Amino acid sequence: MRILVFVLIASVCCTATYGQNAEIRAAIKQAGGKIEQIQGGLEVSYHLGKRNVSDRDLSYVAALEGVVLLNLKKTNVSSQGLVHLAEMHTLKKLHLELTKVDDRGLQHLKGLKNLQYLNLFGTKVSDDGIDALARLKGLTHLYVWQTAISEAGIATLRARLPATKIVAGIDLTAIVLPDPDAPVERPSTGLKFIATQDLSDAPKSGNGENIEVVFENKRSHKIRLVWVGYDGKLKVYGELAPGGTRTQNSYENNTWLITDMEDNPLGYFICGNRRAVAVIP
Amino acid sequence: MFPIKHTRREILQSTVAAAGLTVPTVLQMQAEATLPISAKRCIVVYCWGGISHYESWDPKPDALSEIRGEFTTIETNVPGIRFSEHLPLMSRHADKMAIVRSLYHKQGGHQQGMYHSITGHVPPPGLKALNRTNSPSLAALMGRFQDPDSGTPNAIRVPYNMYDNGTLMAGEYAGWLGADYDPILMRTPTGKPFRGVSRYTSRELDLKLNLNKERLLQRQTLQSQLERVVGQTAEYDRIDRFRQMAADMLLGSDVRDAYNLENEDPRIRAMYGDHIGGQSMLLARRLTEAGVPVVQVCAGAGDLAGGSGENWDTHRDNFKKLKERLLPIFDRSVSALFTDLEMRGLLEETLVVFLTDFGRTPKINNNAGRDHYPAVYSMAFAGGGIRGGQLYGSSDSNGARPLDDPCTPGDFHATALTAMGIDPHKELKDQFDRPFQICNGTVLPLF
Repeated sequence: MRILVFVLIASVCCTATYGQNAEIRAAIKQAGGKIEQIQGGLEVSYHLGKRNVSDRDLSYVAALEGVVLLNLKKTNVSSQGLVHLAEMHTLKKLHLELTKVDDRGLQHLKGLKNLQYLNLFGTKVSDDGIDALARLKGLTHLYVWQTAISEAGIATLRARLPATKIVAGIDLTAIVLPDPDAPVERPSTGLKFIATQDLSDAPKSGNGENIEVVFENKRSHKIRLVWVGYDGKLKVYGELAPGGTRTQNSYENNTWLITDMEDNPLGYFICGNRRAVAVIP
Repeated sequence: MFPIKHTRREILQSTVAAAGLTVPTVLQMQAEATLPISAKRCIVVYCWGGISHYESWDPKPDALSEIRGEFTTIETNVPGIRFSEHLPLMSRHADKMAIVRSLYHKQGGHQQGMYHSITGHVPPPGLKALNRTNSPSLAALMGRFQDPDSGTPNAIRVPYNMYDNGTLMAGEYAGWLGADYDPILMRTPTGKPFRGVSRYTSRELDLKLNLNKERLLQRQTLQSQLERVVGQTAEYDRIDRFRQMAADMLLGSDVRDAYNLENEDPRIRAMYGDHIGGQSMLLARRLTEAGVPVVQVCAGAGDLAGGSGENWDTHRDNFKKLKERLLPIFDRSVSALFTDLEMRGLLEETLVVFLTDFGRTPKINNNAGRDHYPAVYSMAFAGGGIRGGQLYGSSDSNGARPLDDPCTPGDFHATALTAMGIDPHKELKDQFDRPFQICNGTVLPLF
């Protein structure tokens, strides 16, 4: 009889837990969260769904049993909201990158002894958060690129968490940006202009290396730039005003026909295997 | 065709016996290895044409000069692992990489070698592109097991199709998985092109072209592009799915935002290099970050064009081409990808897989080139739960044959699938309900 009562109570409890979990799951999904079964437990992620994750949503996640991975990347979760995570002792991986979380939020994570991965990239966490972070002795990976933690702070963290891989990233200011106004070097080689009024003189284009041709129109009239296709078909690429230049992507052995604005051939160029200038005399 | 003097069985027997292990022991060891699954997304980097193992990840500094070649070697950040001297940036990331130096197969031609490497299956006779009996590519197969959000393709390829002298290659598609899982080809919107021939068709998605036009127009254009892709395979019933995906992508999805490289920090863009090789890697990072589960990048010109141009088919001027163009672009773009993924905390969850057709011949030919060589070559992994800083297998002192732990593209695929949490020996059915085992390789102990 006792056993029967025990089984009955246990099954009622199980059903209640299951029912409760089902309700929680539904609430999480409704808020744009995705729940997946992964090795060792559950993964809850909001990072590709709805970005408005309220404190109430986090309370649902905290109530769900067996969450090992929580991804809140790029959501609007706040430091205050992290209070709900304080008792999530099953949590192993926590993504908080690109959120508004700061040092105050870290205070709520201090008790997460099983946490192995913590991503704080792009948050406002600073040196004031180091004490809280240093308590997370189980961390194997800590990401702090583009936070307000100083170089000295990183060194302190490394000393206090010697077994943790702390990724501080690179200093982007050291990267030299290409100058958009830098003058483009004029090619040293020139293509020969072969004057002709007979269209059939211009051969079909052949294949070869990808090169650039800089066309320069030295005539006093506007011209047309025509590509002779691999099958001999003509394709107009544009017009060039007197004195104008144009950098054109092309290939070795390609033929470029120059015509006047009435489509009368003036001559042609055949590309070589390097960047070259083509002066239209 | 290149003559192969050993069979896989022979090699396995000899190396297993040499190591004092019996086959049952090896199987037992494999069964006991519980693998931590952590990869959520994958970037496949394909070195089209066949990257030289000598001049990349398996240099032979002690071989005779006619085999060793012109390059010296450099230390990496992992003691005992040396790279070619022209991978100086990547040498600082060896601790993230698992390099497999003992791959081999029997396919001496590009189409066959590429098919074997990209699908993990031996090519059937009479191989043709877009044939629905072909095996799916690694990207398509991985994509099949994912459940991305609405408007997010299961797999994307950038920036080119692979061609050999104008012939479209078989192997990059979903094959018997059906058109639903064909990776969608996207044009990388910025970057200087690879020299040589890269064929653009009208079928690549170019979201940038549509960014400033009326939404309706965008929608129509994109739909027609997609319909042409689908129409070519005569699977008209699939159009609705693509139409919906196209509409979702255009209506402001994360994928569209990711596609716009102008949104990226200019210093990060500069880190990858102002070249389509680098910008394609950046696009791959952005797309996977936006929820696309698998992105395949063609790292080189799209058409081999008889060994001319900037692809890895270096029959002529192997050293000049590698030193001046191919390796610097590859070195910079891959290193930027590793740096970027790591500092965002994404590397652990992102599997990076390097594939290629085959290696290059030990002997340097009369044109200062190396020819096709499938008897041994190298490919690599990084991230995604794979233990970095390790070598698996080795080639002999001349880089001519596998010495330790020979393995096949199938084994490499089994490992990649396992890293993504996919059972490599799972059976799937094609549209005619015929069963296919997705992979017939053995998982390599790289975790």
